[in-house]
Amino acid sequence: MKQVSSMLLALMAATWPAYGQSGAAQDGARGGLIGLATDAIHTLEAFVFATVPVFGVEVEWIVIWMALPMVILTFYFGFLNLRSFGRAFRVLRGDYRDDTAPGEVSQFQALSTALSGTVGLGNIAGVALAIAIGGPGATLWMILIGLFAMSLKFAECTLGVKYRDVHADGTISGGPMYYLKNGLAANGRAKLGRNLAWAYALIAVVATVPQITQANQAYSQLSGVIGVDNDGFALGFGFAIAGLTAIVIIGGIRSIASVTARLVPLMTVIYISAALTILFTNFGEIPAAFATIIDGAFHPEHYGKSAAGGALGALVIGMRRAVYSTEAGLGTATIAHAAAKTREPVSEGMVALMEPFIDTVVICTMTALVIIITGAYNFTGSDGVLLGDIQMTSAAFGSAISWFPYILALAVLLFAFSTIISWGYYSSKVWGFVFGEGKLSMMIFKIIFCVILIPSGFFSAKTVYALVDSLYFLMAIPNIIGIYLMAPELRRDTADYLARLKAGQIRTAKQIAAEPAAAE
Amino acid sequence: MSKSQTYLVALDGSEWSERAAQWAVNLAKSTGAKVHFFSVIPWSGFAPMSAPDLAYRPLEKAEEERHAREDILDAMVEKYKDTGVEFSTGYTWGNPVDEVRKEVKAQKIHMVFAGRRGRSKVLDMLMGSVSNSLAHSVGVPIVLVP
Repeated sequence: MKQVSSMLLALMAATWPAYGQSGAAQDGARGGLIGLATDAIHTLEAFVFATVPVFGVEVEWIVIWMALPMVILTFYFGFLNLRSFGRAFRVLRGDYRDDTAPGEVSQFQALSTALSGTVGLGNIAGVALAIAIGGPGATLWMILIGLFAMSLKFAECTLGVKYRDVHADGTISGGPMYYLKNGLAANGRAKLGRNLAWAYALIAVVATVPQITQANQAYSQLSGVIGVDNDGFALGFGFAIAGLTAIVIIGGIRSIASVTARLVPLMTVIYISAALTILFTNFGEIPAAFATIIDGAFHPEHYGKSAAGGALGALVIGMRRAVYSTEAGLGTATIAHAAAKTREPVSEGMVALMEPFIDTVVICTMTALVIIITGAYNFTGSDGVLLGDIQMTSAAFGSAISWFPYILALAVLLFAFSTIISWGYYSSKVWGFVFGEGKLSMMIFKIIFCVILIPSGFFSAKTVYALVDSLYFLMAIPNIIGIYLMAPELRRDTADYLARLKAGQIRTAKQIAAEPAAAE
Repeated sequence: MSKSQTYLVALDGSEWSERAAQWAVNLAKSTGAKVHFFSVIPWSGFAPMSAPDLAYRPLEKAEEERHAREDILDAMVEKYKDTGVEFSTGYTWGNPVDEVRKEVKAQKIHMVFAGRRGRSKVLDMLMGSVSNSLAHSVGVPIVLVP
């Protein structure tokens, strides 16, 4: 632990003066440590979100970095993403119970936990944001990228299960730190694996510990619905959310988190049901809505989005939101999937590929159709400006079901809290990898994690978002390098699994019930 | 009656289930049947879990296992060890009704003993009753001990 903290300090010392030089002129009045930090953040942001011209459209290189493996792996695995629905469903239903011992975390539970970490504003507000900037057509690209993202999710979650550490007491440590280290070592690249694992962990520990963004977005939706926004309320909200989180992660009272975990799927079902209700009452308009999406995908200028930069511009906007929405490539969801009890890593990967399908393809399509059918993408707020973000989604549902915005606010609060709890777990694993899982180390982590949430209501400062967002995406760099290197192994494993499945070597729960003696 | 009969007692650590054990043992003493103490730890692989639940599950499972084995099953065997009745024990996770039904088939059980919680009919209707469902689905004679 000492070694690591001195490494961190050295890293900071080495990088900060460099940022400071460029920043002094820009923000001379403030100076000091805060000025340095601000400059460092801006420099980092400028680096991560630097754009490169692609066919005349400026695209952030990081978006390309994340979208490219989604497409490449989809082809490399022979469109496994589209061929695995039936198998994933059978695994989830518990057909292959031979590797799911009673009382252990099932593959269904691992998926639902991972989903509670990704379903949220990224999906519900993300599609509205895409439409606001790129027109209705951006949705098509978002859905397409969501489908491709399934392959990347499959790759990382299979690795997450294959190269996890199982401790003597049965508890599990998994995630990119472990599969980069163990997986690349198994491929004869131990040193590279260690370096990538540490690079990932060092970035992730800074990126995942501050969950300010979630709390902040929940605050803005709540204050929007009840119409109160002042310092006292913001502070109260901060203390409430930090307090609830502290009860769970410091107090060990997990029942609050458990209740949330059960409510999130319920909320998702309510959301989808509301969307379906609106769609069915406007059944005749669905073909026209799809026509609008497809037309808009190639001609965003038809919908007043000439600034989007044509079809390619709409594609980039959709792609960006889809990358946010699926979180494929960040590697975080693998930490949850690693906890599933299964002997078949590939089967967990197949379960995991349902995640982008549910959180991006299904939820986004529904949301987009509701927004287009209700015409909410042309709604303006009280200030005469077109709505964007969560307000557009809220207005779309509200125009058909007047009380729905309140439900939505409640859902957003729950989604935010469950995301904070899930990410609290993810970041505790990363922290444990970096600083050790000792009692003192973990207590320091828990206190920092909760205290950071307190001022979340105040941060409208873009600087904070910029820091969190840019670090967040940086996690994808070591993770995706590792996935590329292990892709051949993944393809072999998948072929092997499918062959055994076809040959009937993977026994179903029914076969075992019929002749239990032959189970092993 | 033949000596090869086996009674299953569904145990969950409650006083009702312990009374059921008492009845089973008393009857077994006179019939010479064996008694199988069986405990089901309620569990569903379809109940969503939070991330911390996921992390603690292996530890919790170990604790549930210890509790079922030591506090419930072994305690019962210990209590009746001087009765001369032959005992066996078993435990698993899942839906109590389903698991008892499976165990009845697997162990070729002749008769089931279960405690019946003294709840009102209204509560039974609302919350469902394990003993009622058992009585309707277990497929062998069942004694519900109030």
